[in-house]
Amino acid sequence: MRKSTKFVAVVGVLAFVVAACASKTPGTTQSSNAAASCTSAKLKGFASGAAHQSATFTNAGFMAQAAKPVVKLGMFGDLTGVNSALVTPIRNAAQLAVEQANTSGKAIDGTPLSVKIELVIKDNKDAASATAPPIEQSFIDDSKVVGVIGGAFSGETNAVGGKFAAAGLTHISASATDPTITSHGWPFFRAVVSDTVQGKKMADVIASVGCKKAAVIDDKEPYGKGLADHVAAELTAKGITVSIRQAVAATVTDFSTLIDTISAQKPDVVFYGGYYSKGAQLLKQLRERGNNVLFTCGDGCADKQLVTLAGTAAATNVFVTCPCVIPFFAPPASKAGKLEVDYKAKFGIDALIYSSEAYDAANIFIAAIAHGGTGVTRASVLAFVKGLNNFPGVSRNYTFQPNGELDTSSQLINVYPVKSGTLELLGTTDAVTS
Amino acid sequence: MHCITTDLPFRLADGISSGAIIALIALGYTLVYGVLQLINFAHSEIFMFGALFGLLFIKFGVDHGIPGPIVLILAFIPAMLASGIAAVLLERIAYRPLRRRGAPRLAYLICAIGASLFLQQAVRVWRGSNPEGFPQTVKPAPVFTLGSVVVERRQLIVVVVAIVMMIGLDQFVSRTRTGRGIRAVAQDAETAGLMGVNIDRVVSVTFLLGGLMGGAAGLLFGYSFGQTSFAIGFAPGIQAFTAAVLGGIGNIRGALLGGLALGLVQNISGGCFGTQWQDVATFAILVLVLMFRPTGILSRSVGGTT
Repeated sequence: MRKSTKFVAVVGVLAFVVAACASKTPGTTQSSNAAASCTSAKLKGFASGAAHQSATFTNAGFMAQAAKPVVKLGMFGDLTGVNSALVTPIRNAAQLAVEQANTSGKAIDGTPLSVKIELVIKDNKDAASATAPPIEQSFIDDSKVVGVIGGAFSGETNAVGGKFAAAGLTHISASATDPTITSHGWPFFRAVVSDTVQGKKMADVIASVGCKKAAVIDDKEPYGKGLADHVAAELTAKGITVSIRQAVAATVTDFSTLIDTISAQKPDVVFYGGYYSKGAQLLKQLRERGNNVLFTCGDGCADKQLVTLAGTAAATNVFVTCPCVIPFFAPPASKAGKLEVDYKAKFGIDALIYSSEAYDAANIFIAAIAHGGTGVTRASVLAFVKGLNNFPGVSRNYTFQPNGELDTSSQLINVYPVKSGTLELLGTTDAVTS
Repeated sequence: MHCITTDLPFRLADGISSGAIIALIALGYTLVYGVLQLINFAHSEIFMFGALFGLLFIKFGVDHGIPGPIVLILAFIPAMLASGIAAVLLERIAYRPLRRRGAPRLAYLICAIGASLFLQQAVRVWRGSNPEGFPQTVKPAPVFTLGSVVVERRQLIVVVVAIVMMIGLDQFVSRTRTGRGIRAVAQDAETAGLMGVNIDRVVSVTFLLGGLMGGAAGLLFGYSFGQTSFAIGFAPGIQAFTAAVLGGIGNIRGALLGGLALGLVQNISGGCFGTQWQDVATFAILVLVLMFRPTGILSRSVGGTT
């Protein structure tokens, strides 16, 4: 037994070494082109490539003076847990904005900065609601903190806010989309649009490409189910039949039961409410079973990994919506394209989901601090954010309603179809459906 | 009810192929239970190892231009070895010391859960939290049509591999000298020990066999469903454990039967009531079966030949 065990162990170690040397996979080149009644190619502007704004901004690079007083901004989110891929861009973009402001010595609107800004970053691993309040308290206890970017997820954001409100500390989320978060009357603002609005706009786009019969699937999680419910309700309101309204838990990998149902009932669009890892799985399994139905998904799917995990062969006839402008998928000549360049130069990785919005949130705070001068207080920051009027950002121009939601004119949702193996920013839902 | 009329044929095909994978995993639970009366909760992670090492090998092979189908076949070697070795090591490190000290059952259970979490999180640290996609090895295509059922390559591969594995295992346990040792220990470990059976060796071999089957299942799972991650073991692990109990835990053919039954029930109930009701229906049936046959469909353990 000893000998055979050793032999097996040696072979195993060899296999391990060989396997561990494996690296990235090239995409496969199989294409499927079954005729479907509604496809992502019917999106207005899909074939031509839409026109984009080409405004750019520059950093006047003069150095910050040494002896400026320090004012702090807080940032928290899941930086090491399962959702960290979604939160890292938020942290990085906030860091970039702060660094650029300290270097140039002025806010994005040109107001000179008379203080040095320091970003205080706290990890709320796995976006747990229970661990968020101590982070909230630590920001409140640090009297130099005048604003907080976060939380990244709706659950953790809902868990904080009460104490922030009592302390008069403004917090802006760059990514929390749960419709109920703005119902508390806190000094809370979000640089994104709620799932209710996204659901409605998604339904608009689905209707605009001529779909008649839909399957709406979710992952049984609060975000996925919430968004899917909104999409299903809006589709029904538009006269599109939701013939399948089902859910597959996020822990399940085998979608074959669901795909059998989809293949039997033949809807002409599938909406998936959930995140890219499962979305990619559903997409891949659909295509491998020969089903080329239009596949749509919300901001949870707006990631490079959607195509990587599904494979380029499967990732066709797909579009996702997002209340965000993702620099990596945006045209190089746009503001977001500029952000992608700066971001990549600093961090060596691409600027992904919610980096524009986090960059904007940080710049809003920086402008608030600049306007407050050396006498900046939590109250002056809050007053500044409340009074914003078309503050120019990368993702959009910012005006907030009293409850912290974006003004209706700023509630933009963007459409990203997959074109030749990558998501690509096509334009806002309003432009695509007009 | 489309689910049991027009849809039934292709639900059968998918139910059987999903069930075959569950059955392969269930073998690991049932074998170990038969010999040690231990529910090895870490088996779901042994299965995950198979998917992971299969993926690493497939990526390596595809990158080096080896044709997909050959890569897939060869990938069974690292997948099964990784899982087999992991299972043997798991037994050595986590369970054998307990056995030596005659620890109570509860200690095994806690140790199994601990080992499961340890392996899962270790892989998470190594590979990260994000799932990894399987490159395409065998182009999806229909193989033949049986009535209105289109049988795809994937389904055929999964079912054929699973059946070959299970027949091999069944024959090994019922025909070979080592297999006889396993059966002897399963029937009465103490007497088997007195008769000269090396119990430690039998236990190691049992874990190895369960691991090999789990590794093959992991690879088939990854190939079928396209992804792996540190967390994939959980759902199939629970299903396989259920299948083992449904078939009669400790019984090899019971695991096969339980796995297939579970796959079919899941697919058909998911079709009839919607996927959100899948688990509700499945576990309701499990409870019903156990009410009338508390020891499962086939109740005799590994010790018996059937």
